[in-house]
Amino acid sequence: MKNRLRVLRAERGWSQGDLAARLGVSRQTVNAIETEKYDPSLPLAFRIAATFALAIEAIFDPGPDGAGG
Amino acid sequence: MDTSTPCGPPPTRWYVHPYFAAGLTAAAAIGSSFVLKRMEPEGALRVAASLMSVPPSAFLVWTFVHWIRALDELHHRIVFEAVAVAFVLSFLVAIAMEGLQNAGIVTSFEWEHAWEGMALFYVSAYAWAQRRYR
Repeated sequence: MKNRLRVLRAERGWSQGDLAARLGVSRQTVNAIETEKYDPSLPLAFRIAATFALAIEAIFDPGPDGAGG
Repeated sequence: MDTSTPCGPPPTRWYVHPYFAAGLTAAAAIGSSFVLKRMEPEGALRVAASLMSVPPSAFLVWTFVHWIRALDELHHRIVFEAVAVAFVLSFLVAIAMEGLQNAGIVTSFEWEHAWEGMALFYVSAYAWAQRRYR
């Protein structure tokens, strides 16, 4: 699943460690999400959205296969 | 800002760790074997010696569960992938070894060895899974 996590984090000047601490996960987890090796759980996706004060769909793009319908 | 490291175990006593518990369990198993073979106790002492490694084994399970519960969701996946890979590989290798033993090619295989193999495969699979999500 594609996401804008790296861009949003960079806009705020946060390191991966900073974001990890805000989300309550490891830096490796943030890196794995940013590099799209790992899709976060729904609770973590909501925490990410709340951290950036955005909707989940403004951060994550499921692509054509995950668009529903 | 909270700068704690949530992926690792929370601050706790140094001995509440699977590595320490595993060492304790191994020491107890070796001690139990030594006592039973060299000192040959009888009666209740023999039972006690034979069960010497059970409490540290239970402690090992507890510390492992404690450690896993303190991990974040990616590390849960890494650990469970490693456990799954280790289980499947050790099962396949054990089946293969049994077949080779039936054919007379291998002579000293016992299913108990699957546990040791599983521990070795777990370490390798954990390193592989860590690398996969790096």
